[in-house]
Formats: sequence, structure tokens, C-alpha cells
Amino acid sequence: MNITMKPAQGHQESVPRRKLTFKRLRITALTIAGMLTLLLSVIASCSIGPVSIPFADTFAAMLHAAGWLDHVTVSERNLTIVADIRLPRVLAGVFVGAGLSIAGAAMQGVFRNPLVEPGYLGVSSGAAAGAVLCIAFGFARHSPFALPLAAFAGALGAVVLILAIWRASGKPNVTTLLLLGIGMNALLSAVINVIIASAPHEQQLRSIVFWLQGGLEARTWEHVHIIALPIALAGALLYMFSRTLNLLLLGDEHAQASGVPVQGARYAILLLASFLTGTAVSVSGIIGFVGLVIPHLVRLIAGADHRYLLPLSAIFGAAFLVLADLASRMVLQPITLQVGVVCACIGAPLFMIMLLRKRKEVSV
Amino acid sequence: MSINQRTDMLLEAERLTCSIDGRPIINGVSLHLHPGSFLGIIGPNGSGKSTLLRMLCGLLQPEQGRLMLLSRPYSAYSAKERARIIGYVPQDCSIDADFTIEQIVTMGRHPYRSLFRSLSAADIQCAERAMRQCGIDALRDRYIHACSGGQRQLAFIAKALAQEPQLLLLDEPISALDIRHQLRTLSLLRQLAGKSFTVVASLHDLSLASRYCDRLLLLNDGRVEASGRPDEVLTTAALHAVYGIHAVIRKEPDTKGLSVIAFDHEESIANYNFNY
Repeated sequence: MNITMKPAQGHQESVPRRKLTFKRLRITALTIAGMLTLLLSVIASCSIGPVSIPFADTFAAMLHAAGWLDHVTVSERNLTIVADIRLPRVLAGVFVGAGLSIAGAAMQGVFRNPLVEPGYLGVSSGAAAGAVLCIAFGFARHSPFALPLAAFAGALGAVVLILAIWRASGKPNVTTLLLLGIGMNALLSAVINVIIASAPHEQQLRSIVFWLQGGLEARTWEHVHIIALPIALAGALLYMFSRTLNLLLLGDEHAQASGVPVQGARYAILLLASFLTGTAVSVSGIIGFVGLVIPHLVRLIAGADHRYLLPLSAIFGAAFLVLADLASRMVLQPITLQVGVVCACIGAPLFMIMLLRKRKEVSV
Repeated sequence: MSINQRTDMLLEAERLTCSIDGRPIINGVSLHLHPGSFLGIIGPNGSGKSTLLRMLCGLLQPEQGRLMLLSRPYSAYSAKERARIIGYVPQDCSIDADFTIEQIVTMGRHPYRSLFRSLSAADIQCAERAMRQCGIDALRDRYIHACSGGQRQLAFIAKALAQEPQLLLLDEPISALDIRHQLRTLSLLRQLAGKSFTVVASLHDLSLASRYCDRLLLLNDGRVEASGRPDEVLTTAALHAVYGIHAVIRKEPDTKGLSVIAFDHEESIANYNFNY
């Protein structure tokens, strides 16, 4: 009657070393490919423009700017273009893309839904409301940092409000939170539309529309400095939750029974992801689809394990945004498109293809 | 009750009550678990089996009553501390996340790992042992959504075992399985129960419950109708009172269990020929 046990003698005490499986190999390969893509897209993005600079010169100029290379044969003009004009813009793109993608991957995990994007809790529309108010009331003219600050405050305000409402509702399931987020987004877009309709000056209207479409033009080292540390820190903190996120994917009861304080972990992850999103969009304006598409594509190839999903999403999100920014500058020269628009142009069709494929092999 | 007896007790529940949306589900259930036995919770649908298990696991707060784990109240434990003592296998094991069985079983080590620590050799060994115990070590690289219901069930039992708990709670572990997997799961639980390991499972099949469990707890409408050895609990009168059925209960000396043959009308028993 004992159908169960396999004889366990022999290998009882041997600790099996983890094999170098096909899956592990694939993840290593993907990491290397991602890093290379990111590096190449950064170099390309710093080289291509109204003034073309050879890739080798750009690379040398970048090393020079980082202080790792003293003597370079690159002309002073090219050094300035790379180090002072193009590099900060590209690095801002790196951090924004990485931040949005990690946030998206984490949110998709918490909601157990691959179609969630980082803006679902009202973060992006909160940021937009803050930015639009700032522009409409003319604060944006006083300081270059008034706009990012207002956007960040709006983002944080919106998400804290949503989480407080969720907590007070006594319905601790994520579907309620998702629906609350949709309500919040609708409300904030209405507010934004009111402000747009009543904007006193043509110029302000233009600034508002540009912000809402997201862009990286004219971003300086100051912008990079204010977002680099917060995004790196919040991303690292979120990474520490990757095992918790894996357990949350199994379902609330499984997670709780495995020792995850589910509700507390959710608050922490959602706040961190929202903080990342808020920080990113405060500098770039609204950029959609990166946080939705990139984690999803990475998951398709690398699997659902957040220990790989989060860092790989960061790498590919950064590369994607840098390339999208390059495309936004170059595709319709001399007209520059907003990078948010370019992301949507690439992201939206991808999103639709994903939806059609969803039940075939994709799951969170 | 002396202090010594108390420290022996794995879990004590006194007059638990719980209601969902204002409807009382559990109504004054008391339960004492000594280490090293296999307790089956039986009762009709809606009698509160799942709710009771979820309270025992700490997923649900009782509204009234006292719940003690190793003589300390549940609230004295953190989620991780509790998960080192209690493993829980929910009824719904249908997961469509992209994880392999090995990954899922390894997740059972979560309560032993801090935020920073990676998997130790002991963790891996423990997950290996759990997979071997459940006989799924050959399936380790299979994705959970590609597994059959029986394999999934075994995978989640292995995950709970990797937690190295003293108490394993299972919510209807065999109701979705074919008869072979039912036997396989129950005899696994039977082998695990003993010494310091305790198993509590809610079951629907009364004959199998009597065969594998040391003790049964019969729930009806959120109350304990009977509890004790299987032959004490499974009586014609009790089954009629709880399920409204007319049953013929026989001892099966070969399996040391009972066989319960149920009829919905009393007359049917008379027409049935038992003299084979």
C-alpha cells in the first residue's frame, strides 16, 4: 500500500549543487545582451545628432567626463557636446527608463496582472496634475526645479491618498485598489483638462502639452543628480522584495502561510514603486508604456522570478528609453518628437500583440 | 489543567467564533492538538471546515475565543515565526505563474531567510528532502501550470514541508484528485504524522478519513458535533444528524478503517443486499 516514497538512500546527504541549466544560461546571456545594448545605445545616442561624432570619440569623451581617461584626442567642441549636452539627457533617460520598468515589474507582481502599469495608482496623473498646476500658475518660470518638485508632490499625494482610501475601505484586496486607482486617474484627468481649457497663455498651453507628452530635451546634469540617487536606492530596496513578490504571485494565502506579512509587504512595495515612478516622471513628464511593455517582454524570456525580472527590466527599460529618445530626435528630422509619443507609438502595438498572445503562454 | 500538560500542547483553541459578512461561520469551536497525530476535519459543505483551518493557520482572526500556539497567543508570533511552526496548503493550488516545482518548493524556505541572505546549502537540502518525501523530485523542472492537479497538490505539500513546520494544515487536499493520488497523498500524510509532526486536514471522504486519521472532528453548522476516534465519531446517528443521510457503517479489518455506505432514503438500506 506504500505507493509513495522513493528509496532515498544513497543521495541522502549530498547537497546537489545547482546545475547550470538552460534557464540559467539564458538569463546570463540576457543580462550580457542587455548590458551591451544599453552601452551601445548610450554611445549611439551621444554620437548621433545635428553634429555627428564618431563612436570611438564619444566613448573616449564619456570616459573623460567620468574622469577615467585624462588625455583624449577629441576636439574641445565634441567634448562639450557629449559631456554637457547629450550625456545628461541620455543618462536622465537611463534612470527614467530603469525606474519606470522596475516599478512596472513590481506593480504587475503585486496585482498579479501583467497588464498593470506603474501609473495605475494615480501616480502619473497625480504628477501631471501637479506639473500642470505649476505651469498654469506660472511657478515653473521661477526655478527649473519647481516643475519636478510639483510633479513629485502631486505623484506622492495621489498615491498616498489612494492607499489611505484603500485602507479605510476595509476591503484589503488588490482588485479594489486597482478600481480605486482607475477612479483616481479619471478624476485627476478631469482636473487637468479643466486647467488646460482655462490656461491663460498660448505658451503655457504648449508647455503643458509638452510635459504631458513626456520628453528628455534640455535635461541637464542637475536633473540627473536629483533623480539618480533616489531611483537607484528605491530600485535596490524594491529588489530586496523580489522573493516576497514571488510569493505574492502564488496568491495571498500561500504568501501569508509562507511567512509574508501580505498587507504590510504590499504597502511597502506599492509605495516604493510609486516613489520610483513619481521620481522618474517628475523629470521626464508622462512616459507611458515603458513600465508596461518592458517588464512583460522580459518576463516572456526570463520567466516570472523577480530576482531576475527586476534587474533585467531595469536594464532593458533604460536601453529602450534611450533608443526611443534617439528615435524621437532623428526620425522626422529636423522636427523633434516627444519621447513619450515615440514610446507609445512603439509600445501600443506591442501591447496589443501581447494582449492577443496573452492566454497562449504568457502569465505573470 | 496542569502547567505540564499545557506545554505539551501544540495548539489550543477555545470557543472560537468567526462570522463572514455578518453570518456566523464558526460558533464556539474548541480544539486541542497534541503533537504527533493526524486529525481529520469532516462535515458537510459550509460547515466551517475551511474557515476553521484558516483561523488555525492565522490567516483569519477569530472574533472571540482564545487561540494559542505552543502556549503563546498567535499575536505573539511574526508571520515568519508562525510559518516556521505551521505549514498550510490551501484548497486552491491552481497557480498560473511561471514557476517550476523546484522554485515553488524552495520558496518554502522563505521563513528562514532574511531579506539579504541567499539560499544556503541547508535550505537546498531541505527543499530536496521535501521533494523526495513527496515523490516529485523527478518533476522539479516542470512548470507548475503544466502539472496535473495531483502533482500540483504534492508540490505545495512539499513547499509546506520545506518550511519544516511542526503542524501541517491542509484544506481538502484530496477532493480534486483521482483515487490513486488520493491514496498517495493520504499515505504520505499518514507517514509524516507522528513523533513531533502533526497533520490536520479537512476531508470529505468518510471512509478514507476513518482509515488514515487518528482522530476525527465532525463539524456541523460551525459547531463541533463529535470528536474522537473514527469509530466513535462516525456513527449512524451522527451522520444522520449532520448530513441527513442514512448510512451503513462497517469495520474493515484489513484496512483498520470503516466503510461508510450512504443512502438518502432509509428504505434503500433494506433493499440493499449486504450479504456478499
